[in-house]
Amino acid sequence: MGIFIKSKQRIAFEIINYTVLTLLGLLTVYPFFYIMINSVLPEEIHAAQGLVFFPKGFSLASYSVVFSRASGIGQGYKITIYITIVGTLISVILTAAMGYALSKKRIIARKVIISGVVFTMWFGGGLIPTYLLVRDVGMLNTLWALMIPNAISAWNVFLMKNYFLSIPDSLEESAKLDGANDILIFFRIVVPLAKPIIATIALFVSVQIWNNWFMALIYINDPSKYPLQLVLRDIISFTQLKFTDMGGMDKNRLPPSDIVVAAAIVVSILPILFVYPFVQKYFVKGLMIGSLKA
Amino acid sequence: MSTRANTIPNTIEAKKTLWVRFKQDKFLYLLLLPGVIYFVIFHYFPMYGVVIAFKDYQPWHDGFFAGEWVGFKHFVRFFKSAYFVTLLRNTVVISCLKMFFGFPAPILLALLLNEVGNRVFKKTVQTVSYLPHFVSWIVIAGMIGPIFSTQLGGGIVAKIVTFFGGTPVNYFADARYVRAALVASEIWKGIGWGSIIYLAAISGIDPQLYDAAIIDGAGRVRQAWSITLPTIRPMIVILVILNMGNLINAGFEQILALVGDNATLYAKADIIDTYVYRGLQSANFSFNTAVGLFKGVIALILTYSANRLAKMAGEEGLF
Repeated sequence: MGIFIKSKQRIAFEIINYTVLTLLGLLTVYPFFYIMINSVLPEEIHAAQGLVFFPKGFSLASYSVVFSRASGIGQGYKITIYITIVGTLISVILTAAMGYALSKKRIIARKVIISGVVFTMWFGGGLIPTYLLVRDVGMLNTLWALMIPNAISAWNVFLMKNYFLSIPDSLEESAKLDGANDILIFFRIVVPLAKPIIATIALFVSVQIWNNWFMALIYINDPSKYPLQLVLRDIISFTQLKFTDMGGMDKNRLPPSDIVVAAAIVVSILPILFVYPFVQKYFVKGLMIGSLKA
Repeated sequence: MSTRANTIPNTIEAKKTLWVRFKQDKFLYLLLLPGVIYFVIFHYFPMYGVVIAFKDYQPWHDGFFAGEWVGFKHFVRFFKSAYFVTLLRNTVVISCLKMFFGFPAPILLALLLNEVGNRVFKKTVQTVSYLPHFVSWIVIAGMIGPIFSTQLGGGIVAKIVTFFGGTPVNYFADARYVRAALVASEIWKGIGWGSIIYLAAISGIDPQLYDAAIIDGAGRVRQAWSITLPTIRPMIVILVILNMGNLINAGFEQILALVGDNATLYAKADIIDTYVYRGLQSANFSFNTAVGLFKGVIALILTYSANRLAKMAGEEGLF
């Protein structure tokens, strides 16, 4: 900007601004920090002082509990990793295929199909009809229920479609002149060019599957099939009873100590925390592509 | 030549072209097929499934075609129930609060971040601010428990409140404060991520506009009002329309995770969706489908109205 001298007002504003933003940053990070330091809190200090807000002592005892078989976390991790990988694969393949096909203007009833897809963004059967459908096709209590019902998002189809539209026709036309058929064109030319959008969508989809717990909540009864988030929910809500003074707990089952719960949380978010700094800019880019097209 | 003689060959021609087109692009239709099947089965068929809202569907029925018709019986029962008012009120109030406080929050953050000169600081705050977006509500619920707890000397919030002389309260477990807690936590989770697109738009504004404004004697606030905000106005309108339809959803996943089974909070925080969810567990399928359908229709009306309003205000709508 063309101003070099800062007025007193401006300096005051900047001080306030930096303070507010710093506060916001701390507010965002502190809960994570809090959970982490309490997850390594030795039990004796916990019993004596409750939870701490700066690090006191260090003990990995809670983590050994979390990693033990009984916690269910290990199994939950396996399930979540499986459905994230397979689910993302399914979603990306189906979405890219549909997006590509719909980007071709010569498709019969193209506009009808596109409108049909758009409509699902605003209206759906609702929770119960969808549940009944999943039940009636026999997916209940299977991992498919976690990957198929939400396999394709209309929004992603449009992202893909628009991206494919931006690939110049001349590329495909010259390939056709050279005798290539549609299959070759798709796999050898278009897909490699679409790597950025495919990667972006894969990223978004995998985070969404990783964090998803509601689908498992309604479709899965077998605890050995619970994804990580659902295992976590069980652990947390059991302790939550203590935090909210509800009473009426099953006296035979001791709730896990807060320290253990904290460790469980840390273990669940560790992958995201590790990967996040490296990957967040791709998410931001992806959001930009998506909203600009909107 | 008669027109009839002209149309017959044309129709044959048209039919031939359709089939030929299909054969030519076989592969493309192959790519399209799974997606179409998916949408038909998992989106359109359940839409048909809402008919059970007008029937007496029992859990042992096979498919949506079974069950006898009862018309609007379930809807009437819902509207007449004492709980209807509570549910509707909670849904609307919580949504409005979230809209009123939660919608401007990312915009404000974007405006503030825009004023930061130090790039490292700006980047750091940004990166940190969207971390909560990537964490599930379950994890957040797990963090909220210890932080807001009032047991055993209390979590950090209770300690701070006591330090300033107040009585510690677990805002997420107290019906008096739970709505505020829900709104605040939603802002916490979404403010960073939400600010991204606004910030991107704002940084695209030509600095010369600001220079000209300064020369004309405009202060910071005036600049923001006359330059920054109008630039992001179209974005705001689109997002408002999108959010209108979502209004009636009121953040189901959050409420299910944070309120869950805590019935003491239902009077203030139970929304239509959480009620329907419990209906799923109690197998009152027809009734709760009716409730869900009611909600869906309202959402449609709201979105459509918001779209009309936007168009009347001169902006491009969504459709």
